[in-house]
Amino acid sequence: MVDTEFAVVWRFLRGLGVAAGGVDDAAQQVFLIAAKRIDGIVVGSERAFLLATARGVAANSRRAQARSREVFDESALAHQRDERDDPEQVAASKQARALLDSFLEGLPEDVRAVFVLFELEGMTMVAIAETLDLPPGTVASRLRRAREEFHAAARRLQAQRGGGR
Amino acid sequence: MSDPQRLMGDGASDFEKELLRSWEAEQPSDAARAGVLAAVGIGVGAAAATAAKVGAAAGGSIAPKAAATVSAIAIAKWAAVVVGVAAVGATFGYVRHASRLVAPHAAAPATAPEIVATAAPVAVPADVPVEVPADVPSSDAPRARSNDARTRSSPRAHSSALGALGEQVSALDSARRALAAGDAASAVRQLDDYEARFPGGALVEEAEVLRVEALLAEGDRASAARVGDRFLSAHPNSPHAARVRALLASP
Repeated sequence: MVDTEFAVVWRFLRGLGVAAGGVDDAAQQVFLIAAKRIDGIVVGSERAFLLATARGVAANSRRAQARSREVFDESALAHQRDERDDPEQVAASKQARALLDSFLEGLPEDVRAVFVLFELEGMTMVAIAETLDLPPGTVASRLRRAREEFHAAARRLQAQRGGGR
Repeated sequence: MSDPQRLMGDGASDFEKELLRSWEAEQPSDAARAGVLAAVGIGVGAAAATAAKVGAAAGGSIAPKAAATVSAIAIAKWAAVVVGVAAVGATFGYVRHASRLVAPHAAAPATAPEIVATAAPVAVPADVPVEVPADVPSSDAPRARSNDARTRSSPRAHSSALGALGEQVSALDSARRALAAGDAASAVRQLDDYEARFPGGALVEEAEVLRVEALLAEGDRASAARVGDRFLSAHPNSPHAARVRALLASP
């Protein structure tokens, strides 16, 4: 379960707003909770359990972050700094990532979860409906809403950035 | 249901694609993965030790009569723990902990020894006595049990279990929202409701942590301390224990 689901859980936590400096711990929490509840997890629904747990852990983690914003942001920057060599590319990519975050931050959590799983993680609508235990129509409507917000946010962000590109 | 195109594929401006592409840098480190394997692995080892004790006390047939105490490097100990889990699991069902948590595919206990390679960095405390039953030539028994478990979990059971979990998540979300909106009293009521509806529910620890927060937000430090202390004595090794301690220590 760790091997197949770890990266998905880790990125889902990031997508839900857990800071880079806190995501390793948050992912560990998710798997520790799963370890304790393993007997209650039906075979085949491990991912659903993990992602549902991740939503709870992410909510706790975000509240903790709000209290110690500086610490988390600094370690987030340190985490990103060594990703690439070209300083300009690093700056551009970091800025794009920060803008993506600012868009995600503005979404309600349930809409955000659908956007992250569909657009960023590439999960199918059916899998998302199963995972989040939602009717397919609800997944579709949340995705529609997320996309509208995304286009609007992109227009706004691009205008703020000076309308270039 | 046919999926719409992903925005990255079509329907996004260059700027939007740039934003979406920035997500690709998000990858967990190997160290983070190893950390989880270590944390989960040690948990499994502890469970096996407990089960072994229970088995011995009960005089069950699985309790090792000719047990070999393994004393080698940490990796060997880890291997023994996993094998021990597979063996004891035949009686106590712990085998599913080992195979489902750390195996590459949620699958047969027969793969348990392979876990050793994956989890090699795990350092099992050197003073943990590890007993390996000498008469465990194969993992047929655990596998049979595991198959039984699969047979029992019909699609219907699957969806209702998920449904119950979804309800639990929603119930806690709702309490969280109330707390975030500054209505701590409502959050506490919703947590009471959660615990009444799902006694022993999957998220009961999370509910308790939230309750400590809500009580603190209400200014009821005495109750928060009582709930927090109860939580810490019931779940001293909970992943939330540090958070509860921090909450109780906060001014």
